[in-house]
Amino acid sequence: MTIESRSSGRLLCTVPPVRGGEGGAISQLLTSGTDSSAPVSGQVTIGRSPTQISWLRFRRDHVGMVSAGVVLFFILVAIFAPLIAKVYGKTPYITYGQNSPGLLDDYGFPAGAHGGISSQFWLGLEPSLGRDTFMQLVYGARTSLLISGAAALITTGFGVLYGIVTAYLGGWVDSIGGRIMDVVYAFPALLFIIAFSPVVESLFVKPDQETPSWLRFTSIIFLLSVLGWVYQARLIRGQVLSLREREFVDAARMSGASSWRIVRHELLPNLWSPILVTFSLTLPALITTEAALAFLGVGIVEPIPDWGRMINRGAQVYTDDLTYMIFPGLALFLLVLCFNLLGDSVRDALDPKSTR
Amino acid sequence: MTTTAEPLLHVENLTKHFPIRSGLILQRQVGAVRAVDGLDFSVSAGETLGLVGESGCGKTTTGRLIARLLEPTKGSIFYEGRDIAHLSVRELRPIRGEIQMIFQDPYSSLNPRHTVGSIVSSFMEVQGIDPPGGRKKRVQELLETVGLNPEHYNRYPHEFSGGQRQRIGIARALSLKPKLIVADEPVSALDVSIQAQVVNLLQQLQRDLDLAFIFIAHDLAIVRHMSDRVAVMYLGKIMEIADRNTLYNSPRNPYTHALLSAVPEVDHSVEGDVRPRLRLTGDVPSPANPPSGCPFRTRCPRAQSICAELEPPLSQVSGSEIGHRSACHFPVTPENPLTPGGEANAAVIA
Repeated sequence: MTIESRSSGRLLCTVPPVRGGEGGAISQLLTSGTDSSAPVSGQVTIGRSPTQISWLRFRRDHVGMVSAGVVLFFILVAIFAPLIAKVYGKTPYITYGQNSPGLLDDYGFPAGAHGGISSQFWLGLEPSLGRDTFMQLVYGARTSLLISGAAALITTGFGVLYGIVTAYLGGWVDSIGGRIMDVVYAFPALLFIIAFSPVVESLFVKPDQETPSWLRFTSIIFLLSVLGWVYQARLIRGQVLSLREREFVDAARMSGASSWRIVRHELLPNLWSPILVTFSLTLPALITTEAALAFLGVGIVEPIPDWGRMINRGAQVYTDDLTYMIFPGLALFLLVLCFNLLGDSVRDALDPKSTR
Repeated sequence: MTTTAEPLLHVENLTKHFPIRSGLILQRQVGAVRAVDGLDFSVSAGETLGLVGESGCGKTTTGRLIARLLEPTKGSIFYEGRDIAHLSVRELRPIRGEIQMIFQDPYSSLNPRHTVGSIVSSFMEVQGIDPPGGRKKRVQELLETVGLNPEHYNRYPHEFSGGQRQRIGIARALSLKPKLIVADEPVSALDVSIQAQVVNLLQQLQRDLDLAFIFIAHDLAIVRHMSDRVAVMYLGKIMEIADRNTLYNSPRNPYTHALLSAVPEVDHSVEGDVRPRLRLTGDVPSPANPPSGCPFRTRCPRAQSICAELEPPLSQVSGSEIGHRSACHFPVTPENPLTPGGEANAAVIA
């Protein structure tokens, strides 16, 4: 029997795979009987895993698919930024406006209409320095996704580990671990990062030296991770606390399985959904935080392109040149929105029982 | 019932107290929930011992202690003469195959992320058993044994009904060829029509594989159907233990009477067969603060001052069959039956 054919109706889009599967089992039962064990010969029955069902459900979610497309587009732009630069023929660092007169007016604003948009400079020029806006946007996506992606990976990885360990071991480990989480949770994250990013850098860089750009990246990722893992740890801790009371964990213990095997073989397969969901919702939050830090001047500094800093510069000149603020603002808005919608869709696909 | 020289399982003074802790950091122990308080019983090979009692009487804890999912506070569990009460996870591993468990909730006892084949074969994987013909073949044999289609090897638990899931759980328990199975309310989560199928399957397996069962349930009819002997528990203690017919037909302990008379009877037409109904009042006392002496005295119609002072031992009832033990100072006997109006604390209705 095919499950696909039963579930063509749009109305049933969240349930059919499960129902189809159950129907399959029931019709099997009818053909084979319950107490007599006569197998139906020649019929191969292959079940759909929960992962496959979630994937089918996700593919039917138009909002999720479109968001995934947009997110993928941004990721590809970030990865292939040098290639785009080559084709486009410009870099984000050269001050075109200052090098060739006529592009900027006497006050440093782009001479052309709408921020100097032309066939040469697709999205116009930066006021006063005269760099190419399009290239800054493309390379800014790189900065944004690199920092938020790395921080999301670290926070999720550490949070998951911490959550599993405290919840599974329980007892005093959980008590102390829980208090540590409360303490970290109480830190005002943004203020903490503003205050401590100079401290972190001064640990590695002498006052008379210039801060290398990789150190800026590392210190921001580090600070975002140090304060961010608590959310993931709490979530996973809660999940593990409820999972370890399930009887299949007892069943695994009845087989003589070690704790390590129980975590890896019984708990972890059930944790991938919450991990995926929290990851896809943490990432957009980190993108905005990173942009906010750059806007406030404690994030990525010149000359590395950054959306938050572009918005900051745009805010200084928006009365004269609105264009320069609109593009990074739009890019940030679109990316974060699509990431959030994607996160919602992922959650809906993995957990059909949740209602929005 | 057969009495062999050495029972398969023998439990002595089995006790589990769950500590009640208080305080933010130091967590002093301020009390204990006496979930299981000094049990003595044994189970022979191929025999079924039923454990009945109200919710919270310690049935499930007893099962989990014997399966060694919990470590007892005190007492010994002799399995084939060896005390397994305090063995570590590593030391227990070889014995795990011989004592298995069937769980109550078939929706929670199967990992939703694994296929049926993976669930059933994981026990052999952990134990490092490679049966002749491979694990897959053995799993398919087991599925057939419990009345499932062996082709369902690659299916996931969500594709099965409750009864089918319970069969998968049974197949898993059988995969290591156990001698003793602790069945913790194995049918109470199932539809009545499915209950009968699963109970029949368990009996069939018991005959074919010579299994001993500890059958935990609150449904008296199913326990009667399944068990060779029955133990009645109340507040972590065994009140009465006897072979099935003796216990159901001539119970000696007032609590057993109360429990049995709680079952509605369909047929009242046969005159003389009507047992006086004993309706209990009040609640079960908290196992964190059990009454002194006999645990049942607060609700017992026959309670007298000695019941509060001295805990009645679980001893052989005079004038009854061998192995019929009851813990009561004033047992119900043919000469001293429960009489309507004759009891002080509870309503006895004819």
